[in-house]
Amino acid sequence: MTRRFPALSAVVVILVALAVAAVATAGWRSEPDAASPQLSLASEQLRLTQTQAHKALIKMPDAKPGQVAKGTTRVTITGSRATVQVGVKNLRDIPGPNGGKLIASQRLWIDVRCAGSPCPHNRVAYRGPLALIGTRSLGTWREGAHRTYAVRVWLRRGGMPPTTTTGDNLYQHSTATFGLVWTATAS
Amino acid sequence: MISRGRLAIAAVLGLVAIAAWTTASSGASFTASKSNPSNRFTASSSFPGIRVASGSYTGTGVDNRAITGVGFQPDVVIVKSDDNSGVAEIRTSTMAGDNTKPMTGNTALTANLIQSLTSDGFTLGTDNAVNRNNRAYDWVAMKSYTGHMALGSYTGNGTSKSITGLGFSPEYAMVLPGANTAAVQRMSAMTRTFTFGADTGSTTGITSLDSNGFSVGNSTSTNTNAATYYYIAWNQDVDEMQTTSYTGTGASHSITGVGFQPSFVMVHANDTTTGRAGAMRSSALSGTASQLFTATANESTGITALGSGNFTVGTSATVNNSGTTYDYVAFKDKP
Repeated sequence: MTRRFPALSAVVVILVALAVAAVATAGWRSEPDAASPQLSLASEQLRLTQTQAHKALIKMPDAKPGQVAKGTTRVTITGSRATVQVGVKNLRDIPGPNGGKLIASQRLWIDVRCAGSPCPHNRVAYRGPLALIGTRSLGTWREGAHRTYAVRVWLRRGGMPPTTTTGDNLYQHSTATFGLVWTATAS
Repeated sequence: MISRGRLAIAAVLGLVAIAAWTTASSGASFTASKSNPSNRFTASSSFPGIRVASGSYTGTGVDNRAITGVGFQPDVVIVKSDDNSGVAEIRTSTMAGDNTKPMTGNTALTANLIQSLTSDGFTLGTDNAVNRNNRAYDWVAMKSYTGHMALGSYTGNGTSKSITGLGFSPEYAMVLPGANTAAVQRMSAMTRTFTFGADTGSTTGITSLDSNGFSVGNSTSTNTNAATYYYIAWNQDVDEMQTTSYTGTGASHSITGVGFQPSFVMVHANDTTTGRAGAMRSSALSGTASQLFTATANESTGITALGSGNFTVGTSATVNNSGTTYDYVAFKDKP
């Protein structure tokens, strides 16, 4: 006589299996700043490498209006064709003695552009206030593609200050900090 | 013996695992990222502007005399003897070769004066106006800064002309003719264009200070057809350049409201009936001395002191005739 397996038990087992599979799949999605994922069974796992990973590109301690802080990094993707984006995180204003906020005022500008070769026809990924960069697409890259990006940041000149504590002078000794995030999504 | 139920469960689990692996390895929703954290941008605690330096030297009469220690490569240098050895001389970075413009008189660009501008100063020829043996001289040097001060040149058309592209609306402009016509200036409060010497002004020189430059009429000092003119223009700034006017009293008094302690002050009467030579004083001058732009010895009752937020005028009619309106421009070094 054959014993029948209860239908309810079967459903429970299937749900557990699905959950385990979902967790396993989610584990392959990398977190920002984490090392690229290692999927031993997959022959085409997506990896994004960057020559300046985990380092600041912009370090400007004593900027005059119009003075440009520069940094470059080379971004490479392997394992898969992917769409690539650049964005910012952890934006923070630290006002100086005159109270000016570089980011919130939109006086701190950023220019992100592809430099050298290869580059897309439109090299400029973004040029404008740091506060408004959001996430910018860098296009779809073939597997193994690399590009070098130059990042420039500066305090826009605002003309002749009307007083010693307003106009450009509002931003004296103000600081802005931020992170840049380069993300590839397999496509 | 394995039951059919357990076989079914094993099959389902296998299918689920295969599906998960297939999904992941296909990369359909797979992302990777890297970041550059802790980028930091800090603005300076003091924003720069035009540079102003001044000093003194004793002439040697030796050619190619180097004056150093200015602290920057100047775009403009003015030299004037303390005595009557010559008129004030001005050289700009836009003048090529060995050329300097005498600031008063109708003299063309001249060699053997301020021969060149160097990385930390300037070099002198042997002309008495700048390097007469054992004579005392004072100099002022300036370096431009974008948006605050601009230099350039243009070619005249003989009628009227607008010089644009300065990037700011100037409050003070000088035009220095390459040919043998007089150098002129206009401050924002002036009703006419004046030379640096004693004159009553012209209405066809620098006719207006505009939003992005200035305009010139058909004066030979500013606009002879096909002639070359060099210009310098300054933008007023609360803590480095101020220009306005005051009324003379005939008695020594302080001109307040400058807004900063000036390094260099220039004064010219806005007098359309009586010609009065312009005067200047830099922080290099001692005592109560100030200088005229003409070939005249220093005077002691002109601009007698540079103070905190002010300067003092004595009783000289060049700077303080009772009832006469004077215009001044004051500069401060802003490194």
